[in-house]
Amino acid sequence: MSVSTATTASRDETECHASFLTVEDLTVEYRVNSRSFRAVDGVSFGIDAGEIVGLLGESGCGKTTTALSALRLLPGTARVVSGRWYFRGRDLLNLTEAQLREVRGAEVSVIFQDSSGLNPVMRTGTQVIEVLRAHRNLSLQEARGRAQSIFESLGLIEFDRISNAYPHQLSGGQRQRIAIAQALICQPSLVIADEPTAHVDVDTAAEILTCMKNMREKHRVSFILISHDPETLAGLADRIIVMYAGQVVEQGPAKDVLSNPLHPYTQALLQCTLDQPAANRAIREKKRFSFIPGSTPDPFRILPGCRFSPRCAERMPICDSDPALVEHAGRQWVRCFKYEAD
Amino acid sequence: MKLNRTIMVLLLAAGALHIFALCAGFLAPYDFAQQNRDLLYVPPSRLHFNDPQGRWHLRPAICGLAELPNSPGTYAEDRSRCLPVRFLVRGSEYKFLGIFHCSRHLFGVDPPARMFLLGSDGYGRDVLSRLLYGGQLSLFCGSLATILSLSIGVLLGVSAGYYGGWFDAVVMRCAELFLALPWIYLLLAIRAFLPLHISAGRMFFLLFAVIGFVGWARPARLIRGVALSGKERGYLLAARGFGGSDLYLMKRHLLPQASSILVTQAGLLAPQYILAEVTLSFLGLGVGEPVPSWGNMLATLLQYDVLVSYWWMWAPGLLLIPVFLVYHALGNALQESADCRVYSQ
Repeated sequence: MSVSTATTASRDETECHASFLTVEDLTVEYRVNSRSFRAVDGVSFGIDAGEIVGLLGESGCGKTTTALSALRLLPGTARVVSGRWYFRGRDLLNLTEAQLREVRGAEVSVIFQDSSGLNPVMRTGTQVIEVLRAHRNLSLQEARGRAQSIFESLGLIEFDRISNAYPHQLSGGQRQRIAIAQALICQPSLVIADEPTAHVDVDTAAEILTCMKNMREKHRVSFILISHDPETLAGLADRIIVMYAGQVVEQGPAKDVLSNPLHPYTQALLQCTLDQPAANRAIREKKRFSFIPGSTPDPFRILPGCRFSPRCAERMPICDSDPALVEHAGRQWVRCFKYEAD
Repeated sequence: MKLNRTIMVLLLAAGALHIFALCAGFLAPYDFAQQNRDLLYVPPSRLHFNDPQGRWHLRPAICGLAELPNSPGTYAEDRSRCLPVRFLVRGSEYKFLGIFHCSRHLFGVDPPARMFLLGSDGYGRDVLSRLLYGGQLSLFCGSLATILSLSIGVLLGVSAGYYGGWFDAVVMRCAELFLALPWIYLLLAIRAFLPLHISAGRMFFLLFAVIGFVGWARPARLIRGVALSGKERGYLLAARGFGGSDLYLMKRHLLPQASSILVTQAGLLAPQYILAEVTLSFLGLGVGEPVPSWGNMLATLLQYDVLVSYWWMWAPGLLLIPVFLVYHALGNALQESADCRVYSQ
């Protein structure tokens, strides 16, 4: 690498800083039986090129809705009320269907959970090659070559056997890698990974996460990594956004959020995870596993005030009014009155 | 596709039926319109392998016919006149497969004698020849109409299920309208508007177009159901997320799911449509004399004396039974094998 390319790269990076991806004030509503609720309420965040951002939260908190709204992949009952997805200077939510089709899979791609994204009656190789051929004008032979190289980089070495197999003939880990191959084969610059390790065992999960890390380093791919498990994000994410009941409650660099969580919800969530010493202690003392008391609020009946306050151990009278997302210590942002005073 | 033995046998049977009908000119000893006014309602000729002296021959022979003197119109075999059956004989000219001029027939007897393996009708025409020519019309009208209505059904059903909304509502209400209309009376009315004499070729296209067009509703409703359930699958969302167009999603992900339904529908619809053509021709809405179809051949059974006296005139009706069975069984067997392929994988 010459010096000049290095400087242009760094200049690009500073320019990209604001312009690669910015989500502004995203609000999504679902309509169920003529009643509607907000699954995502005023979410804003930004992502740099080559950055891995983790979206953390319990199921139903709006992580997947937030991410899939970028490519308009939400079901018919969903409606984006307001907000923008600025991706490289274009608002994805304002593109025509034909323009969006060129973005999907080629510039912004999705890794779907488990193998639900694979057609059970189509050979896996065909499914990967068809993604490539939808965007690039390649012969079948060239496309197969590309597929083979991406299969190999994902650790699927027996290309002929695996690409000729149907999804049910492969293991869960292999299927998940096929899903990753589909998402990455066109070399997109942003990949939305929706719980890519939710249905595979621990060491396969680790391998898959390593694959994603390698891809980021090789191709500067940005990832939005959706997970309910802080440990999945710990090794991979640069930044973590914690969501609760459709709102961002905390965001900041991964190591700060995980080692020094500010919001009571993040603290409670991290306490629920079993790190090794905690697991040993639980086994030794026959203690019950820790959990967060109460349950997530009914989306149809969101009360004013902090949404976590009914379950919060540090509840204050002021929590009945809406807290704002405030910056704390120059790095983390948190939506809690505890930090609004200072 | 791996075919099991049942499917092979059934496919061969269905294929043979269609090939027999296509090669009617060659297989039939006479032209369908050739009349023999002195040989009316002759019963089927019996094939003999023994000559009058009782010697056995490989070549079959038929016997000459003699009208019984005291009851005109009834015939008895004249065993003294033996007519050997000749193969690949020259006879009336026909167009093989509608293209090549040809005058060879598979079998026949030396003229002026006639052989009627399935008897003759009220104009002295050979019933076997008319049955074969009639199959051209009835069988192909049925199968072409099946293809037409399945194509319309697939097109409208898949797109209605996929797009949903007002388009779905409009298509499905139309389908219900089509199912509710009393078609036989409407067709009678439509026929009344058309000129009395239409050439057989034109009538054929009219019949298959009308039958095929009228029948789109049933397959469309079924396939819409498949598309509706397939639309919710994760892989459809994924394919859309990777940039698949609507057309691609329907063609590549929804249509394959409907394939086993399409096959069964074809097996059910083809006999129904053959029967529809037979019914229309029976009622005089189809092709007219002298061109035969199984329907207008059966129409002579409306005369009571024909119905009770000349059993061989029932031939087209009896032939429909094995034809239907073959189609139904083929549809069933193909569906079973399609389902087995899905489940065994």
